[in-house]
Amino acid sequence: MHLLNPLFLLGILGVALPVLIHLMGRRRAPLYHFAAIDFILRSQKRIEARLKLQHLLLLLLRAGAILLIALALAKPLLQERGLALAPIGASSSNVFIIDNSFSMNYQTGESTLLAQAKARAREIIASLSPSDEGYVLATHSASGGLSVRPRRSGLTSDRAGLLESLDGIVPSFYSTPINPSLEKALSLLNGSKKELKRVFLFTDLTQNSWREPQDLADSFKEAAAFLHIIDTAQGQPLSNLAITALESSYDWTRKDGKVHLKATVQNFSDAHVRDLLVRVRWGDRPTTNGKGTAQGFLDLPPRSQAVKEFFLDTPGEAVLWGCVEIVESADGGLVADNQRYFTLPSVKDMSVLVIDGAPSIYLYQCESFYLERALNPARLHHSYIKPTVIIPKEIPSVRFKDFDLVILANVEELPSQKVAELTSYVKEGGRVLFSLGNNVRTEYYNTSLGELVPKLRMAVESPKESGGLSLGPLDTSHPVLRVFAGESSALMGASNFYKVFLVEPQATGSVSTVLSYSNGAPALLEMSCGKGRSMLFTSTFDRDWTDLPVKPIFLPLIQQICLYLAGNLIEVGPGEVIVGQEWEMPLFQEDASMEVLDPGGNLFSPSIKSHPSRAMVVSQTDYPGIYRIKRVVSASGGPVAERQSPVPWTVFAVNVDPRESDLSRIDPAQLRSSLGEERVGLGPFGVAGGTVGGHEGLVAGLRLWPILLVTALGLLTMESFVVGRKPS
Amino acid sequence: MKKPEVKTFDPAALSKISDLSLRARYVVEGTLAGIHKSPHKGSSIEFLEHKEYSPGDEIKHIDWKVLGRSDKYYLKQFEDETNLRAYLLLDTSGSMGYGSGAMTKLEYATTLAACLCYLLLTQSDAVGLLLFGEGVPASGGYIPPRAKSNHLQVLLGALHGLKAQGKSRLTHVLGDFAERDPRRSLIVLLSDLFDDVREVSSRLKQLRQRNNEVVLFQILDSYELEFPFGELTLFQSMEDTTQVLAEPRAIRGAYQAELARFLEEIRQGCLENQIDYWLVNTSTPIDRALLGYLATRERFHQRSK
Repeated sequence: MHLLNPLFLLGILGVALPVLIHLMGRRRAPLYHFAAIDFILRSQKRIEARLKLQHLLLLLLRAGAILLIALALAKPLLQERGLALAPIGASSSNVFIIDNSFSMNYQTGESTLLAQAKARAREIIASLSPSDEGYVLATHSASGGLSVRPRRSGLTSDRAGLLESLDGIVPSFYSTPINPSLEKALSLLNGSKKELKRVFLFTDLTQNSWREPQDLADSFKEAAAFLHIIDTAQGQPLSNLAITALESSYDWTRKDGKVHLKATVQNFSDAHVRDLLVRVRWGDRPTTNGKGTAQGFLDLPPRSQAVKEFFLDTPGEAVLWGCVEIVESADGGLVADNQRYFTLPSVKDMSVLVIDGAPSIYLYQCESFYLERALNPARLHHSYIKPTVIIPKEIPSVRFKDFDLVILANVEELPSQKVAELTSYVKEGGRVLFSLGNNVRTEYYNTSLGELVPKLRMAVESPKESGGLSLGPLDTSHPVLRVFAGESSALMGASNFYKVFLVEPQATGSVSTVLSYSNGAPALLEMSCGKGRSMLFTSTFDRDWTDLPVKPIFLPLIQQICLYLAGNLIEVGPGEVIVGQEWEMPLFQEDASMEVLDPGGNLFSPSIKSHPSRAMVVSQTDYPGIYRIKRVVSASGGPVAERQSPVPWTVFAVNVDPRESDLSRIDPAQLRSSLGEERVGLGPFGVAGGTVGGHEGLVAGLRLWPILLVTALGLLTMESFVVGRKPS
Repeated sequence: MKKPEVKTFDPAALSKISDLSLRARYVVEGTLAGIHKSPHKGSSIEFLEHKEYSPGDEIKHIDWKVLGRSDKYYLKQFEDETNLRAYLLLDTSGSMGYGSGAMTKLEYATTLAACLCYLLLTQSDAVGLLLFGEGVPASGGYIPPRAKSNHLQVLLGALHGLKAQGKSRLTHVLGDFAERDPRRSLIVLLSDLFDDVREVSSRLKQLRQRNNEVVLFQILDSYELEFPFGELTLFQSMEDTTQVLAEPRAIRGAYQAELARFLEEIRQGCLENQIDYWLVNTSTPIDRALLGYLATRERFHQRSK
């Protein structure tokens, strides 16, 4: 047992007080002349024995109470096994590790676990003596390291500095393991010459922080350091509801092309949750009972999960992003995982000129029949593409620059001035899409339109009997094909091509293959031409050479190609990113400076890498939410108009690690076993103890003084009872 | 001689008492013993015996018939036929000097005795006084009973200025008194009776056995009855040097039990010996004490008819 305030033991001398008071009382008893004194004598004699017993009992009770109070003030502590305390007056080196992982945002009462941890650490730091050293670090910092701002190089006696470092710790959305922090702390303490070395770890003891348990017992022993773990959750289980997974896609199997959202909600508590509201929010708008919003309810038994699906119409905006969120009825808890963000490609209005190179009196035999319906399926699908279909005779009457995109579908030739106009249109930033067919003459295309299309070779046939060619494995990294990742990719292979055009092998540079056939021949090629782009589909957009137009994949593919070409495709990077992970997106356009705006309001430039392929990399993903990327400077150095536009060039979603939503706590025994039982103290928040400076809360142990005080109170209560009781 | 100061004489109380005279009680006694009248002056006398004439004796009492027969001068000696011969025995021991209120027990007893003297003398009863206590000089402690109207002053003079002192020696006084006057009398004892209860009872029994009417006024202070003290106190006896340190709160119950036992013993003793017993609290007005006593005696007298 250890006494934290041993000087108060002098109070034991107070046991003599009742006796002294009694003796003084006798001396000061007033003299009173009384006639019936014989009766006093007789009554005293009568109850003499009981009176003596009562006096003795009172003496014992009073002395006992004084003794217990004196002992309680001395603050005895029944120390935990193995934890040594430095003699009072010894100096110490202390490292304070604050767990600021995502789960520490858990709110209990008026504050979060992190705020409570910082407050407790503040008390301990404030109690350090001038000769004590300290260091404050967080399990995660904004800089990505373990130290906090302002950065300190090592242990310091500057208490104000320590408090400043502590204040600088901010909540994070990371799921961070504890072990690196402990290793860092031990490396700091190894260099200390102080008599007592301690590590204070303020954490909620969730299993996630100890995912990679490491045997540090020897390290602690080697450093002669002690570890005090302060449980910010005070031993209480932490219940939580969270959206742990979200899938978002366009459902191409449905003709209405709705957005499909599939949210997985988990109940990490022992309570049965009924009627949990799950709703969808588009963009930054709150949910309304309008178009594109939905909500539903879930019933979640304890420790279970459920899936909520939504099929939504798009809200009709250029950029699609939103979140699915759950609305809890109870206050507090962990709210950051109550929503999960998603992004989807969308479109802007665009005008498309379709030149039907093979018109027919039979509508369905027109080259543009399927193409026009794919571009604007009217009631069957929401499209912002406004096609204008003309026949070759009408070419002279149109101006290409009036359109966002020009599609030449199986066009034999153009008037020479229109070729020049088209070429100029493309070079100045316009877009053109060529599909081929029986009307296409290789020589004409290679000469007159050679600046706009890759060199054609010849048309080849693949007999129907052999099944024809199909579209090959998809490289869904291309913006055109990203939406076909997952289930949709299988649909691509369902189409058959019986005749295709081969192209000459192209030198690397301005031409790239976007889509290939099953035999490896290019099906869709992209070519840059000045400021513009062109794409070439090496088959037909009607049923002459392929059954693609009647396949479900035709419509989205045509739309994606057109949107991409016209620059209206909000190119969405790869899927979901977890906080802290890098987000990368291949770049296919000319160089441009980018700006990233994160959910925290920070603006920064992403990095660009060249190998193995050119891509934009965003590594600063500290916050969950939607990250907006804008192009700010064009390749020629001038500002890009969209910088001023509220609509970003692309977006991606960052979400918290769902593993951190599970707030199950680690078994303390297991923890102590891996960290070394002899040197680890583990107790509730504000655990008892006292050491240097007599400050409590530094050592795990059983505080005896509350027990002593309660017992003393009991004795005093008994004393009052005995005093009030008449022995007769 | 300086007239004694009458301390508490309540004329209103006295007028009430005159309706309930002691005479009523003793009418019965008087019928047995003889005829009792209530004259204010002149009384019928009863021939007791002859005494040879000595010079100086009153000649009106010469028995002429005896002179005619014997040619010698003899005086007739008569017994005064009074209503009552009363003795007031007043305890002046040290314990009687205690008082928590306006009057000490002695002052209360003195005043009560004075009332009784007045009432009795008004009814031409002879009243005598015996003061006992170590502080009383031998010569001034006894006044023989007389019925004369001027006897009141003598009595009041003896009652005036009494000091409570020493031990009471009550049992000795009672024993001695039994020998003093063999004639049947009313004996009124005014005391706190802080003495050997058994001995006192025995002596009172002796008095009763001589056919005396005994009335006992036990006078106690309210503090002696209730023992209302609180803090630790050093109690000092009022009759000797005895001291005791006591916690009143602790012993109050036992004290009251002891006192109750003492009072019960006295009451039982009086009951057995047909002694009128009155426990008087000095906080009780004197006229109430007297009225209560007289009313009880009146009822007793009515029941006796």
